[in-house]
Amino acid sequence: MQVHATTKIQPNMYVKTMRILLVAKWATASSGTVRMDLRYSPQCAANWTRTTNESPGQVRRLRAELWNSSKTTLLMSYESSIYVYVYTNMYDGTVVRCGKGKQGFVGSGFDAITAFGCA
Amino acid sequence: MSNQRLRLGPLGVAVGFITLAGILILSVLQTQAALPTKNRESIQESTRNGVTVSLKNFDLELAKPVAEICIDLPTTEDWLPYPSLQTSIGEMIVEEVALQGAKDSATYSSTLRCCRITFNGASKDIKGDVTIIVTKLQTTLPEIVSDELCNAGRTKLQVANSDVDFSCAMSSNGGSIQIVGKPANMTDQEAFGLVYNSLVTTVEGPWAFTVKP
Repeated sequence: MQVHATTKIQPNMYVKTMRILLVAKWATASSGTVRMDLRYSPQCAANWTRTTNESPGQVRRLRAELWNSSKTTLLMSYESSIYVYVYTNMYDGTVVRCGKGKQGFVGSGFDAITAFGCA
Repeated sequence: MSNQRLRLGPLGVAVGFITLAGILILSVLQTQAALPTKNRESIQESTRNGVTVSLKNFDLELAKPVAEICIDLPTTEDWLPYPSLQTSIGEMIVEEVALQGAKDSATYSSTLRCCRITFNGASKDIKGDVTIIVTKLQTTLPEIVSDELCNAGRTKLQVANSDVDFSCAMSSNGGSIQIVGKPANMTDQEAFGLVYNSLVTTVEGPWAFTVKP
């Protein structure tokens, strides 16, 4: 089994056959509802997180974050203000990882922030 | 050899008895640890559209209400339940869905999967019966919505005469769906809902379970 613990591997390259949603977390604020998915590829034994704007009538600032199990170290993140959903690159998923999703108005801070979801 | 067995027999029986007793005690303790709720429910099952959902447990002793359900899914794809909790003080929306045994190959290779659902409300505020409702099951979008998938979704909407059309734009770490046509009286949110549904597979419920605290 090959483990991808690198910032250069993007999930779409490897997860066409199987990807697992381990934890989904929601948060709602003025900018709408945001969902964070902590996802897993069995083939790669790798985790990544995806953050989705669940009120996609308006474009929002979105940020996906992948943390270590103790929630002290940010391992991966990706942020954009042009997509309906964003996701981090893959990271070694052989141990517990945690994810967090953030959403806000474009040009502003984040107001909808999920709690950590770990698996 | 047979003499040794005879001589060790009583000791073996004693060891076996102690081991068995230990296993029974551990088993009882583990069962209690797995169901630490005053609202322990016997299994309830509900079947809709060929899919059976089982309520395994409902817990109001934690700060937030937690339900444990198992679903016999149509496929081993990535399915997400959409649950809510109806209470005497109103509806509590879902805060977390966590797959049990998430990284275990036995979990993701099986269509029978269990998840722990946390609702966004205070357990202490709940009085009287509650109903856990799973409105639908839906596969999740892949990271990349391919041209093939996007076109299939557009075709579905055309066949349904929805008058909604859209385009898909993907990048290395994000995806965007643009509504390029919709009826004047339809909101963006409604249009996006139709588009999303055209890109994923849905099994409609509801699967409902009433619990008496």
